[in-house]
Amino acid sequence: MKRSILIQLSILLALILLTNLVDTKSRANYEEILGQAGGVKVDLTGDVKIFNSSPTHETPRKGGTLIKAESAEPENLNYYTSTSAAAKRFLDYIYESLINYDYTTWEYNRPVLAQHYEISEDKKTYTFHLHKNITWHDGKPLTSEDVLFSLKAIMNPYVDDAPLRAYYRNVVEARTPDKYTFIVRTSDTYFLNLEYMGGFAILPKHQWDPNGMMDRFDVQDLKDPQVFNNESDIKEWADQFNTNPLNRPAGMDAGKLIGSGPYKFHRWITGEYMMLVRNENYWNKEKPHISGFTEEPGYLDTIIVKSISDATAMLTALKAGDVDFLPRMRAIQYFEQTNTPDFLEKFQKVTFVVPAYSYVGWNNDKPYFQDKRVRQAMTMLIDRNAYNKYIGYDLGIPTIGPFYPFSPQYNDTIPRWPYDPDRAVELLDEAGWIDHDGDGIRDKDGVPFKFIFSVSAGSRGSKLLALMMKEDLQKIGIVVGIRQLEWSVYVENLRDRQFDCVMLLWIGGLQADPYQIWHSDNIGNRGSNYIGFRNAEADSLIIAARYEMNPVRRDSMYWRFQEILHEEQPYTFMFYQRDPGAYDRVFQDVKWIPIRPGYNNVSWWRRVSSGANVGMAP
Amino acid sequence: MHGDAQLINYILKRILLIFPTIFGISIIIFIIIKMAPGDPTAFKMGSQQTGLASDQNLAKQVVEQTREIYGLDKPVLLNFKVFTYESDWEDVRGFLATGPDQNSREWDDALEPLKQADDVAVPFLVDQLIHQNLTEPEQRAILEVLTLKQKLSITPEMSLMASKAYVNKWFYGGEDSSGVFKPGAESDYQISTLKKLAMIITDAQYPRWLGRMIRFDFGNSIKDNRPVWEHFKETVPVSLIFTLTSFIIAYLVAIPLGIYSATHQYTLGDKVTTVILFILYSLPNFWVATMAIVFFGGGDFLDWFPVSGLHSVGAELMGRGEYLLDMLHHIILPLIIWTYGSFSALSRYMRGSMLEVIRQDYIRTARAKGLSEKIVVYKHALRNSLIPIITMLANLLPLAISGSIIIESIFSIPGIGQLAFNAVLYRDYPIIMAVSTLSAILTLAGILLSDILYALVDPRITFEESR
Amino acid sequence: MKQQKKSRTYLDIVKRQFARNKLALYSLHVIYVLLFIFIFADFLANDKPLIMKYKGEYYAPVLREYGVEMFGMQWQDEFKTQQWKLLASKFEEGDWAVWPVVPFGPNDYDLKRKLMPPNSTHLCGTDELGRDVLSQLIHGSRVSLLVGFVAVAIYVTIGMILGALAGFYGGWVDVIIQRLIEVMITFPRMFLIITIVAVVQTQSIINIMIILGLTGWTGVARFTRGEFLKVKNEDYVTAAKALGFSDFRTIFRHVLPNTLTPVLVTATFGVAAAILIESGLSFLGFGAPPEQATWGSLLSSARDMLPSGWWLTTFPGLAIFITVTVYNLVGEGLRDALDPRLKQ
Repeated sequence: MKRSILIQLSILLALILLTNLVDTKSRANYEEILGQAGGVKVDLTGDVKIFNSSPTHETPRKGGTLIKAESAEPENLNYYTSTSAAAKRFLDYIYESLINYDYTTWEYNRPVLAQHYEISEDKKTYTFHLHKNITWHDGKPLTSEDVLFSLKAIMNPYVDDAPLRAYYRNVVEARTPDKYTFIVRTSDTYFLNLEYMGGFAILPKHQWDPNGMMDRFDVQDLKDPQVFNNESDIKEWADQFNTNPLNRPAGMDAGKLIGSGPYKFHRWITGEYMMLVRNENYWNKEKPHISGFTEEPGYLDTIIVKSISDATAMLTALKAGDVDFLPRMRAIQYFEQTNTPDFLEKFQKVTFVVPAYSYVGWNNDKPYFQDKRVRQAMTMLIDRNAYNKYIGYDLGIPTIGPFYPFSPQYNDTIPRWPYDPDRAVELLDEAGWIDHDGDGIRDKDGVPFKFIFSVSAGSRGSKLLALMMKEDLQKIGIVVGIRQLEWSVYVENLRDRQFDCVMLLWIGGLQADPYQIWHSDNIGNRGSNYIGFRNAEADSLIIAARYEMNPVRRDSMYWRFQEILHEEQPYTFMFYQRDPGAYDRVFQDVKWIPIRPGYNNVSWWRRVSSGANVGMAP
Repeated sequence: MHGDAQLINYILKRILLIFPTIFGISIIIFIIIKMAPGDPTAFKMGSQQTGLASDQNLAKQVVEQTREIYGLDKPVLLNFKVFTYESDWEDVRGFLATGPDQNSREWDDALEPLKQADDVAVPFLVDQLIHQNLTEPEQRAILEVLTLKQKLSITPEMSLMASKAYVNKWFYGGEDSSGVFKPGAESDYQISTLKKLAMIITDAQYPRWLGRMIRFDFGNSIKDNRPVWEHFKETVPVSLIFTLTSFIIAYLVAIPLGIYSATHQYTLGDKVTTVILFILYSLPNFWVATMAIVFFGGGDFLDWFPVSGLHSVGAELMGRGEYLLDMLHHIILPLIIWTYGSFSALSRYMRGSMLEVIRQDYIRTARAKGLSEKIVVYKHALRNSLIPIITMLANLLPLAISGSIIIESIFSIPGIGQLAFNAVLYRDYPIIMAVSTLSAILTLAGILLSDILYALVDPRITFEESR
Repeated sequence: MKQQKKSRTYLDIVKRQFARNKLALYSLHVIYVLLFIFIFADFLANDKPLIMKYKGEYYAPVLREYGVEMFGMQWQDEFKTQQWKLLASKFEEGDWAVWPVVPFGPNDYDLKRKLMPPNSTHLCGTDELGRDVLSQLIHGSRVSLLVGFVAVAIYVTIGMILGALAGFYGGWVDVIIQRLIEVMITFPRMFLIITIVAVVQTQSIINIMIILGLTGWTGVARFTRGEFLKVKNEDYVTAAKALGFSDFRTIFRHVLPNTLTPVLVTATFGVAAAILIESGLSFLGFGAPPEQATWGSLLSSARDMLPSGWWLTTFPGLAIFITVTVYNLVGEGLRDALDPRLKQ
């Protein structure tokens, strides 16, 4: 009898010891941990436009494999209908657009399929001249027909791509005077027109519409219900497009999905990985491939995207050598679990910028947050720097507004609201939120200051902030409840505007148009301005800026807009995010850009390592 | 023979009793879906920064389609709206006079009765729209009902006039582009009173859903538009491999342990086994899984097992033997972690069952006859005590789904557990319904089968509802 | 009278039998300790003083949480903010306070004390917000055990009533209840639970208890039904019926008590299972709300920290593991002690 208890105890002890062993290093203090992570901080401040974290003087070598890990598989591989970023990250190696970002200037004007392009005087007509030697992966030529087809596919009202289609409402005409010219005309001078008109991925018409079902229609027809309701072909084709087996080319012999890009789709083993191989017959032999970024359209023979859903498993797979590159790891992994000399010797750690910012949104229509003084007070009550340092491992880039802090749109003359609880309390008193009835809770007009912080079940950061606020605000007489919701319910509540306070992330770009999020048009209708920000001056600035083609004048409008936002504090702006990642040091010329996903593997090349190559040949 | 007749009678009764159960299952699934908040379109729209506002129309359509597939757009049991739409319309007008927002919940709710009347109300509504002098919100309301229920392609950008003209032409007919008069859809909407009466029953939520369930007609996944069956084809084999192997291991380990405990009751060995099995049972598997990944996955410790998926990259190019070995290598860790918890329950069960059998008269007789203990145990006792254990196999499928959710998500195994879990997260109703219906019906079949086998094998069974 | 005496001796036998099983006995003591923690969590770990003397008056801030006004003293204005530590630092001559053993609340955060390994101040270390893990464990025991108790209480009640009805009446009642049981067991339970949790939208610990309760009753029902079938024809039931007692009285006064003890065994196992299920739900993100720490949520949120923050997973893991094991051992001991057939 006693012996079995002994056994039980010894097992307990063994367990404790085992877990104790893990903590091999004696813990240094927190400041040291932030410093000792041994990674590179990618700072793209505008002066530096591209950051190379593994620079070398060696001549790049072709060959080898890169295996990167991502947490989720895309639901399908249709460039237009897929809503997952994972699909786009993958397909961007297969498909090309007419123009793209110039990484060296961050402008959207690098010709890709288009040799050059012209914009008319009135800024409404865009003429693209295609290269004449472009071929699809199957050898067939890529012509302006394909471009027109792709635009029509996007604009087809029955195609399941409504979020994308919204940007093409202003297209009034698109035509192809010859095989290598594509002309598109818009009804307005929207400042992002070039980005949208030249930036969509071109799909091969002969693969997606072999019978030319869409040929009969022009872009006007696709906007005219009289036509698209009466022409069954439009709907029929869209249905085919939405459910095309090519959207999910899974299995072994799946090499059918073709594009024109430097990598060819090779295979997708569902639930395991997706694989690209280099296109040896890439049409563009010109060098450099992307000026200032890479000479070749691709050095790596194979790029594999492995899906690993669990973060711990992901890091373990990296350490075990099953994976070469983790584009996204948890901050705690970066700072506390990857500091062994072995790891640092084998892997390069980086924190790089992806233009996305976190914020706390206050529902401006709720009684407590109607007054801007209250919102300012809330901002001053959140110790953002401490949050960033202790919860975020100092990865955030402070921001005062929605724009990328290193872009010209960003107004860097505005000082951040400080963390100042005393001043905040004064503001609350001033706004009339005083504990009238002596129950320890502030109130006004009989409404007690009790609000609910909604957090999404998956978001750790917002959960921790909510817990902090609950504790802090209780001390000054405000009760914070925390409600944890699943994402789908969370989004539904946002759209119905049924919330008090949320913490979320907006993904932005180098150039952002604040219309969707900040214009009062988008308050009702379950629009993106779900916090209900209304400001007449901001509205008119947003609209004027949209159609202002002069960047300097436009940016000055945005600067003023940010001043208004700063004063009104509809959000408490937190941070632009830095993602921590790590890759095998065998890769060279690993370059980072502030354009999603933050890197482009075409510049990477694999040095012949002394050891065995972990990757495998296709 | 009297016994045979009784047996057949029992089996027949058992089979007949399956129907009320299916009925009950259908009600439960129905209630769940009926209660569900959360918008399946959230994932389609929610992750996008822009385009939310403009997609209201689409969002409504997707929701409406989903509701239609599952008949949720109808009253629950009886649809009287096919007769009351005219007075319902007056109610709607009253509501519209209060100036509601077209995209509010209240708006949607108010229009609900009109939508429920469906085709029946169309001639009336079109007549109201075209020939009556309605206010703008009223026209909008009718247009919305028609657009959603009749799948007219009226976009929000279209002006009221254009929309009305469109409806007019669609319903009453008009000249096409070549100037020939084409009759409209009016004649399709002449519905006889008899049919309307029938619709009271057939056009209600629950009857519709029951019909779909019985036909296994679940439609396409909302998330990726693929048929639910395709998802099953991908995930079921994976889960099957896991479940079967796990069960075989569980039985292989637990049954001998159970026998040992039973035959060595109250010895030290029995106690140690008990404690160890309970300890295993008590360790939350996600914790153990994480520790296993950290310690055995090739992180900073031992590199014994791969930690994600079922195959290595490029496994599909390997030879058959190599392929299987590779899979085995991947499967070991999740399999162990999945299985260890079930040892305890199974072996306890076995122990109890064995102890009971050992005390039976015929075992005593066998012992008394001087048969060796081994023969008594393995030949007589084991066989009979296994019967209840084997009937537990009927519950294999629900256990497989429940048990695999956590393990599959940690080890990135694309099985039915992940499918089911993601479906819940994404509010992918077709998949939720398919998983629960299939699991329920297959399990039911399993129970039925094991009951019948049980009755056939064990002569002691009286055919009085023995489960 | 006679019957009562008989049952007492039966109880004695059971007790003796149970006491012979040392493992179960020790486990029972562990359960007593857990119950103690469960009840007195607020007095064991809290950032409020148990008793304090302030400006010449006595106060009991912890008790006040329970609505008990000790010493009948006026609550001071400076107490409203509940910053007791701050208050204590301003103590003057003659002021004093008695603090709980663990002088931290489960939600007191201090970022500067983030992720500290176990030390003399924080015996089980701190988490990523600098909250005391021991305090969270102590308060988490409340929720975790409560989930077990309430869920089991719900399903034992449902199960016993349905089982009793089915077993006692047989016939159509039995057929219908059997179908109900079948319906429930054909669903994958975890899937059913997360679906319902997702559907009811707000994640609260009460919802989880109810859902666990509503989905778990089949075992008890089947068991009770079986017991009823067994005792149905025994003399005392027949006698009760013959005496013209109402069915209700027969079931609840005469038959049910006899099946109560075996159900207790099931319930003991049930508490263990519910604690495990709750931890699984927490892992999947369907558990208790963030400000209500449970062992499961502590364990699952600390999972990412492995291998660096070992104390974050080890202690909640041990808590779950010890609790579940002792409940099972007690259940096992009870079963052996109660089962006349298993006696040597």
